[in-house]
Amino acid sequence: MNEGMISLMGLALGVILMNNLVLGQLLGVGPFLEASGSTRRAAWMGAVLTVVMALTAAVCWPFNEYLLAPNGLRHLESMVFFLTAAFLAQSLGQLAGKWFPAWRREGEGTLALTANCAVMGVVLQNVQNGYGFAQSVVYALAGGLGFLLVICLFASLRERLEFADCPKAFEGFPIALVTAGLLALCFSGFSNLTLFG
Amino acid sequence: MKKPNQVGKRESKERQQSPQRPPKPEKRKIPLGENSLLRIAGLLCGVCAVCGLTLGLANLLLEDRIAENQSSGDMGALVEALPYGERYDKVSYSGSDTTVEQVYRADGVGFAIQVSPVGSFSGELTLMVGVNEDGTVAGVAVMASKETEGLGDRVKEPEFREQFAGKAGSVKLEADGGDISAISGATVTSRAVCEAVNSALAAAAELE
Amino acid sequence: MDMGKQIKEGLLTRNPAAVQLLGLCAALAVTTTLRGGLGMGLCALMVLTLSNGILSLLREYIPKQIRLLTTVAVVATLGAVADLVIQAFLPGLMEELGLFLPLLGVICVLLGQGGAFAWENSAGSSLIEGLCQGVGYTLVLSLVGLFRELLGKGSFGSGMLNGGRGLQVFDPQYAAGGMVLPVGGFLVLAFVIALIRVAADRAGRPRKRKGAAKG
Repeated sequence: MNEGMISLMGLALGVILMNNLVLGQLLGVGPFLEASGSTRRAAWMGAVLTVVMALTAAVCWPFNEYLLAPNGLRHLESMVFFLTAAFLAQSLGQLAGKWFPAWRREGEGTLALTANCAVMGVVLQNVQNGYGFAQSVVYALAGGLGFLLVICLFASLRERLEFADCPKAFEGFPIALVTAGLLALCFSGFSNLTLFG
Repeated sequence: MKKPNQVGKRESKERQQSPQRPPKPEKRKIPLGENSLLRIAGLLCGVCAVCGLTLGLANLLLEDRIAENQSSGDMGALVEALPYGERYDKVSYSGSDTTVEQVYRADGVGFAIQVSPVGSFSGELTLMVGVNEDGTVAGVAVMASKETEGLGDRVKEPEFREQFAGKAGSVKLEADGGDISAISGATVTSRAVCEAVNSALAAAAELE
Repeated sequence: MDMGKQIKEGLLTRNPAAVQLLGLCAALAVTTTLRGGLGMGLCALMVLTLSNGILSLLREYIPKQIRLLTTVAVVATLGAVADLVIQAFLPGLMEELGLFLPLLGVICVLLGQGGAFAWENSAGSSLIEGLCQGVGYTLVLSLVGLFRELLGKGSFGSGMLNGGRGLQVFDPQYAAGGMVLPVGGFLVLAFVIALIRVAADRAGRPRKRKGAAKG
């Protein structure tokens, strides 16, 4: 395992545990809350989002590197990336609907996939941090996996919340948010973890 | 809040609505002259082109102002790290330390060195370290930081940064055998600041 | 249309953040201080209002298939313009908002539900809808920001009042530092949502407004 691989693994682990997209960086909270009603839905949303994120990062990187940056068009980046992300998300969402009837049932047609801070946040970070192609894709992929992890955890928590007693004003989303906060607290315990240097 | 669409909805000249079709808000289609992919793609490209041009225009108008803001931001850090009454000169740095981003020289007073240490917690910490001509630290200013708020970010506090004033050679945290006391709970970031100061001192020594 | 009612709806019964649960990433991330929340909310308000107006004007010309992409293009552009404006005139706010300033476009697409309202309604009502929803969003963000800052740092209005230092209500060493971390964001947001729901319940009827006679 050479140093490059190790640093990539460190990057991946970092965004899954230490700097989790949802619980650490607070990106992608929209789909996180929306799709965590059931674990099935959560798993599907997480999986599709991971694919969308990785693909968008993979497409946007060369866009930026070879088209925008050399021509001094960095200010267009958020518009270009967002359009690419939206286009890819819509297409992938529909493709997934064709191939996987379960996705059609669980989550197709949701706006949260197309316009969410997670995909855009990841792509923008890739550019701002000056990641290379491999790093960008790994970061996006790992970010998506981290998202998948926490959304499934959260969904199973929420399934139990339904049977819990709760003040009326907090029923539904507020208590879910409190729970998410506690989950965030748990994950912040990872923040000083150093594996792979 | 969807309103019923009957009121004041006059068809545009482009549309040929069949008389039997009752207008419904959700399903109102705009029958196209030629419902072709080309037209759709063309429209989309048109929209994007207009958007791109608008953005380009905005950038053109504002980029000078933005650059100004950035450099005055740098100025603040420069003055904080190494007070100097006149213009600072940018010096090209050819040393081997990759964490040194920029070196400024204050004629007769010393150097101000912009460093981004690798050991920071978030990976994004930029400091401006002022080094006097005699090789002692004049001051440390935090230019940019993505350290954890309430912990690593507290290196911005004057009490922490003042510890470095007058130090020479190399600095270390108390935990590592030196005499800089770290921010409690933020050892990593504090250590990174020491690393940055050491880099700056070394760079300044090279440049003398 | 009844402006007062739309405002009430935007603020309470159909508050985009508290009731429709839109745009919550920003509600959690930039609200570590009151300035962040207020700033973000006001930016979102302006972008949302303008974009609603523009999209509404385009609705006769853009076929259904590309409406979403058009929404994205227009809102992203407006968001990017706002980003540039903030960078130029309010660099302090830019640092506060960090990564979420470029994400303004994304958030406003969500807030406008992909332009759902604007594509179906006249420019005038779209503008007002954008305004009212924006006001509601700003309310939530400001409340969260206010409490997180107060409880987390003991200050009020840092970055805005008192020459940038804000009013130190009590010493930060007694403050609950966790409030400015993600966990605090989730907790305070939960409370604010609950609060707004209670207020919405009291202010209007909590039933769905299907085909209710409108003034």
